Amino acid sequence: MTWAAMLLTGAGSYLFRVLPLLVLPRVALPPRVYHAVRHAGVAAIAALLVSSLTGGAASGDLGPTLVAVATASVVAARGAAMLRAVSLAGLSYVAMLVVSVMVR
Amino acid sequence: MSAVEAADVRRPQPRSADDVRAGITAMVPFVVGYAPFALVIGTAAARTDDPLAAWSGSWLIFAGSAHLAVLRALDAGLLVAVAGGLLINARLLAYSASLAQRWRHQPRWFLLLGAALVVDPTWVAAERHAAESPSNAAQRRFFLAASGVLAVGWSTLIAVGVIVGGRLDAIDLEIVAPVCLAALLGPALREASARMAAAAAGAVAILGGRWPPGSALLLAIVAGAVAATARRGPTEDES
Repeated sequence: MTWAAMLLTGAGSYLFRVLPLLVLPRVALPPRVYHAVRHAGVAAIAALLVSSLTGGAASGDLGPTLVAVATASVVAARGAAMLRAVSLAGLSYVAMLVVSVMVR
Repeated sequence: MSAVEAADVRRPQPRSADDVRAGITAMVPFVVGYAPFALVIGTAAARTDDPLAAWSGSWLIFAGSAHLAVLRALDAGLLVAVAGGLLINARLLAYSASLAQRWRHQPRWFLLLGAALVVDPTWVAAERHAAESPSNAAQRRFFLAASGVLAVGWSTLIAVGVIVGGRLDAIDLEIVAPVCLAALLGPALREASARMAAAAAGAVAILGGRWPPGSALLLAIVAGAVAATARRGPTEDES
């Protein structure tokens, strides 16, 4: 069943990826629609981020996780590379864990 | 010669190697940043009845969140697992729809190949690179180099996770996925309409936390796109 799940999900995912590339260039999108489509990607990443916070990452204390996420967002928004943003977020996460242990 | 090709000829052309190098450089940090997330997926794959099949999703699905959702839902049945994965991956429609305008003059072979490699980080990188208006050939070289590095690195790291398996249980890796997503999202938040899209999508994702997997994500995408369009206003010109 694992093979079937991977193949079916993979085939469906490929259709999601390829159909807009083949179909949309033949359609003249109004600027408003193009604007909405472009921001749909940003919305998707934001929703995934919130889902991951309210899901697995929320199993423990959410404080250090939120600080790490805020750190990564701000550092990346200021133009830092992915690796730097993730590293600094990791450091802030560890620092928050240490602080929370000391407070207890 | 088409107008686009003529424009390509007039524009100063960087060396081919520069585009490839830029693509690799753009994606290496993502591979490193995503490494712990890939190890989590590998660990989940190691727990299935068929780890090789589970690992194959690193190429077939090529999207971490959907891959992990399918692996975790296998016990609930094939239809539930596939439907959950596809709902989560429906966001790929938005990414490809966005790239369709950028790539409208690209050859069909590239569209068919490149489509398989469109995912969150490669979409972000391709959008940023294309915004600098390089030639179509430069965009192809950049995207194939970037996505190739991500695909090979991602698949290799998941394989490592499969091999290492449960030995990673002691490490708290759940933090990595939201941090990587935040780092992806950060640069887009400089734009007001993108902040509106993110805020609306985040609110819907919170409200839909207990809905079936993927359904809240779809509604969040729609809400974000609508909010960004509303923020832009009816008379604002396309930037």
